[in-house]
Amino acid sequence: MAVQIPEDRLKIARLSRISIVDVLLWALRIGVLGVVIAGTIGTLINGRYGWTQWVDFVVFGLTLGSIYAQIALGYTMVYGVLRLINFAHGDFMMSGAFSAFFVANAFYRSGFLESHPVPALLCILITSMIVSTAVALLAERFAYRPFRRVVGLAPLICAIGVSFFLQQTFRGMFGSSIRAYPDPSWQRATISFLGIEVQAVELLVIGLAVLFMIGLYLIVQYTKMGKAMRAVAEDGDAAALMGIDVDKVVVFTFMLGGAMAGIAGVFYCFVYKQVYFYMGFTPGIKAFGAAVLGGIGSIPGAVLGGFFLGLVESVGPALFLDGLGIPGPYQLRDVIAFTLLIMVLIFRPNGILGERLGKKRA
Amino acid sequence: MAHDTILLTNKVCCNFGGLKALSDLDLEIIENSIHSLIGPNGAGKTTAFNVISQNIKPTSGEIWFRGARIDGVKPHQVAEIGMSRTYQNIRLFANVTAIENILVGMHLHLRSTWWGSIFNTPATRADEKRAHDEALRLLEFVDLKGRGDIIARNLPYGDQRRLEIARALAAQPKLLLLDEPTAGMNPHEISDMMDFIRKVRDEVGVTILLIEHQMRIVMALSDKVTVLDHGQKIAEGLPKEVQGNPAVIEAYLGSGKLVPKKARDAARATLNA
Amino acid sequence: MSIAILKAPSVSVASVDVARTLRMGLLLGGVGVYLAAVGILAMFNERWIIVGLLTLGYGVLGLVYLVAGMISARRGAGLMTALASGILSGAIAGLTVSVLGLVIGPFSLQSVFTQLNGKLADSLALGLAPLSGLLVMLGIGAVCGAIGAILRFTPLTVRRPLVIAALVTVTAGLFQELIQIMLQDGPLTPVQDLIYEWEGLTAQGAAIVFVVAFILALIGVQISRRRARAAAAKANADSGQSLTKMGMIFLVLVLLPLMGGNYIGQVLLLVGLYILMGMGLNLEVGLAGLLDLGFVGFFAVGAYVTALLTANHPMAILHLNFWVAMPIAVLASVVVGVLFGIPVLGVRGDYLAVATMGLGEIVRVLVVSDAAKPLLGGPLGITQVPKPAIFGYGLTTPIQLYYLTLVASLVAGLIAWRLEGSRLGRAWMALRDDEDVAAALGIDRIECKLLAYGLGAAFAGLAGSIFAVMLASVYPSSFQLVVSINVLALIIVGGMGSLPGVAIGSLVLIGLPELLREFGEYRYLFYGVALIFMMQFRPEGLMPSKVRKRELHAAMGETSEPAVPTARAA
Repeated sequence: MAVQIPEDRLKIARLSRISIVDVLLWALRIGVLGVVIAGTIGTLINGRYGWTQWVDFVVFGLTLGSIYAQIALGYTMVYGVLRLINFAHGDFMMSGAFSAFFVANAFYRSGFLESHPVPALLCILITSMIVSTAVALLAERFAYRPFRRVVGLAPLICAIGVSFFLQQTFRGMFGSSIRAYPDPSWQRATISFLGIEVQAVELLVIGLAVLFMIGLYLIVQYTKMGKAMRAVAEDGDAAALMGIDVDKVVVFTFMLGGAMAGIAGVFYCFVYKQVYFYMGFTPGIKAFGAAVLGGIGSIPGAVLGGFFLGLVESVGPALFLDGLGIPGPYQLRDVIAFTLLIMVLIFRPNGILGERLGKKRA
Repeated sequence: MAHDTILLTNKVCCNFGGLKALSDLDLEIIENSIHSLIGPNGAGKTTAFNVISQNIKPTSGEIWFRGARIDGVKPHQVAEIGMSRTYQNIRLFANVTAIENILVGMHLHLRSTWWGSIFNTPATRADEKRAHDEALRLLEFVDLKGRGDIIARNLPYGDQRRLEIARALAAQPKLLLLDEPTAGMNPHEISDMMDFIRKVRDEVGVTILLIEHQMRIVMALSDKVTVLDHGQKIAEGLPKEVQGNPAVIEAYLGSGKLVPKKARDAARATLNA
Repeated sequence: MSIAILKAPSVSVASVDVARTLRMGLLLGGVGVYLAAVGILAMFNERWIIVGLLTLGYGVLGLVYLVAGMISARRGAGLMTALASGILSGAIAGLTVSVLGLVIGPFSLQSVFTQLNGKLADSLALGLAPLSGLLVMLGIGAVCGAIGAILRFTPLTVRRPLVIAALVTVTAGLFQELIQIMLQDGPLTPVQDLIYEWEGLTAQGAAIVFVVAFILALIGVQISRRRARAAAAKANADSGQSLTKMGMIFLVLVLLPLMGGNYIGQVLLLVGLYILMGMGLNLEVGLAGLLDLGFVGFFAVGAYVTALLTANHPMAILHLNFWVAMPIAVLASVVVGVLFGIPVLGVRGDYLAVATMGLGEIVRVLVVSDAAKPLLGGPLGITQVPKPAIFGYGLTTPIQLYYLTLVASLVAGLIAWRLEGSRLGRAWMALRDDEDVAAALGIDRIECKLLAYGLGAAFAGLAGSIFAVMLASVYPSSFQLVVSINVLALIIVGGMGSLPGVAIGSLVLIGLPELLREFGEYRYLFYGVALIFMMQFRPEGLMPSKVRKRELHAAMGETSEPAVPTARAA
């Protein structure tokens, strides 16, 4: 019995190489670029901002970038090893920030924070790192481990659940109010340089961030665990065949990511001087964008992406939007960050530095 | 009639980063023939399939199919004008039934619209009925009669292969690309599959472009053979012509530094068998 | 007393895996401590299940100990060994929780953990002196652990009715106000007098409810087993079953408002709106596999357009009738849905979730900003949206609006159900499963995905339109990301791709927290836990759709179910 294939019902297809969607996507690119250029020209002609202000913006941008970069590092490492968008990563940072707040608050009341900034800062940093790492490890053990071999949306949805769980846990334990992080005099100090006043704490954040990133880079590049981690990121199955204990590597990755998130939490406290249970969410999502921008899976990429995002977010409202006469451009800072995030996801999902992973995902 | 060209590729290149997966591939496929694409692992056969079906866009070169230039168009448009394919590692919709797999294959040839489905119009119902009947016929054609309600994942391996071909045929192609349809089969199953492929060509009247590993099958089935190595065409012609080509033998067996002469001769004997 | 219980089975303690039992006990004790620290315990202690005997808080603690016993008792070992480990781990869990109560005061934990106050310490000591409180708690833990261990050894035909009976009793206790109102002043008043007093369920009432529910459940389980066996013989019984399920749920939804006043109506209206949105997101996530976290945007468009077209407010453009404005709002949502979908067409899987979330956040920030204030009213929103009317009969009460929503969700459900089995539904399935193959079969990805976004947005827009009328105003604060997560959570708990699942998910996740203040306070905590647990243990949801169940279990790497017997025979 032959199958009846009816007479050729072929429409003479006009095969177009360019669809309407392509046109619209180009329009989107050109539109965003147009807004950026027009805004920049407008702002520069306007001349409302002096160069000291621009320097301020840049320094603040680098400070913000330090936070984003620290968070993005965790995202990128976990994604590299597990192919999981760890939605809860921003909340790891939040848990670190909360513990930093409690330690700092106790020190502040006793006067220790004022009189001995360096040991106090060390204590705060270490506590925050420990707490964030512990939270990260717990999340890995109880929420993510069952999904080690699972593809699809289930792990991602679980990660959203973890994020909610952590936020609400901290809300339950410590209340939903915004708490002010103590502000001793050394945190308010400014440094004058060539007539520019820069907040000392911003320089401190940037400096520490660079230090920790170099440390992380050395760990990943030269220790045995770091090498195993890169092997698993490259090809988990092959790494397992070579005798690498993938579970251990994943735990190690979460440890590193958690520690970085803890540091980011302290930085966040320094910059925004407040903690609350929802604080991790938006920076978390933005940092994910930064990680993708730099090429997910790439550590230098995450750092680069983080700093770039911080700069755009800080300079952007003044540079791109003010010139267009948009009222309240600073309210739209998140819009700029999220637009960057979406543009990256749409047009450059492989990022600037990441080629390998992108191809595997495609 | 018999010498109409259905597919023509002209200097098609495909690069991944620095790797040249295909370079300057020229192919001409004659209507109603069985054309085989052979070559050692990594020769670029599957890449050639992906490029022809526009799953991957070629880096350069032209591809003409049934009088239309198709390089750079969307894959579903290629399917629309009559090309369908199977995959080396079977890619069925594993969690739905066999018949639903075929119904998806018929997508292009169903007339029902989404609003028609919402209101369940008579036209839609008639269309669905026709589709179901045709799907049953196709199932019968590929020897899967009565297995339409089995979840695709639970079918035996050989049935899955044939179901995948049935799904491809449901799109009523003029050119069918089969990527190693005999992979992982025992000799008995292989000879069944060979008969089946001939039957498809003869009874359905489609042109077949076949990727195959095993010389025996290629020799027995093909009207024409193209040999690829490192993304380049190294030989082309009738099965007999290709068989004795030294370049082909070298590509398959290497330059001979590692393989002893004896083994090479033995292998050559099998190739020529 | 507790010592005696501990001693009895100690003969077989030798074969108990002590390390594991201790670990389980400490783990579940940790859960108890957690519940205390986030304040759930204190809050739950304010509600009686059985007046004067058992509060919800202690009930939950008991459940924790019971679970400790249950997971420590391993079936492989004998009953006595299992019992011993159950008792041991229950007692350990109880000990852990009591110790928390003892250290609250001396370590002044309240200075950091706001919930750990003296009152909690008292309630953890069961109102007794510290040491005797600890001993009693230990005993309770041991008893509950023992029950858990025994439950493990109970056959399913008995265990399930027991669980059902316990659930019914707890429900009867928790919803006593509602049930009492229902029973009041009718032929059922004697029943009310029998099991309830003014504040809630009496001990005698609880016993009666439990026993009656147990017997009924026992019979029910037997019948449903027999019926399942009969149904297994018939092919295709499944679709009929899910239709019956749907019909039953719908009937309940129609009758529910008759049982309560406007407050219930208000809650149900919200449930209905979420059902509507769930149906929409279900098209996107459940059928087309597009995880869209910007879904709230479509809801917002529906609400804002309705407000702008109908409100008695200076910001409004027109003052149309609701019935004219509503279709326009839906259309606007569809347009936005398509516009929203176009840029992310090429974005796959998990990246899509983040991209859509980003889009949703952009919309939200823009709406609140000064830039959009002249158009949309900024944070103050648009007020005075009039209520709709049919033939001069105004739909003003929540219950009337609820019925409107119910009709809308019925239509939405019908559309979703028809589409699932259609050509488009199959194309969605193909895209969800393997985009490349789908495209190679001639399926136009762009068209299909945009249809999913557009249709999904239509339902959300309709929900938004009714929402604007319900609140009689729209504010940007109603359209947070959380709404998208709520909808996602409800279709996951209900069952992705399953229509009855949407209704159940909405009732449980939206209705319950509104009715029980205790749950409302911690609803997002429960959502988080629900998402984690559902994904780990029952990814197909409470009322699974067949195909999704297979997909999810395949993804979890489990062995596939055997082929349909009838088909195999052929």
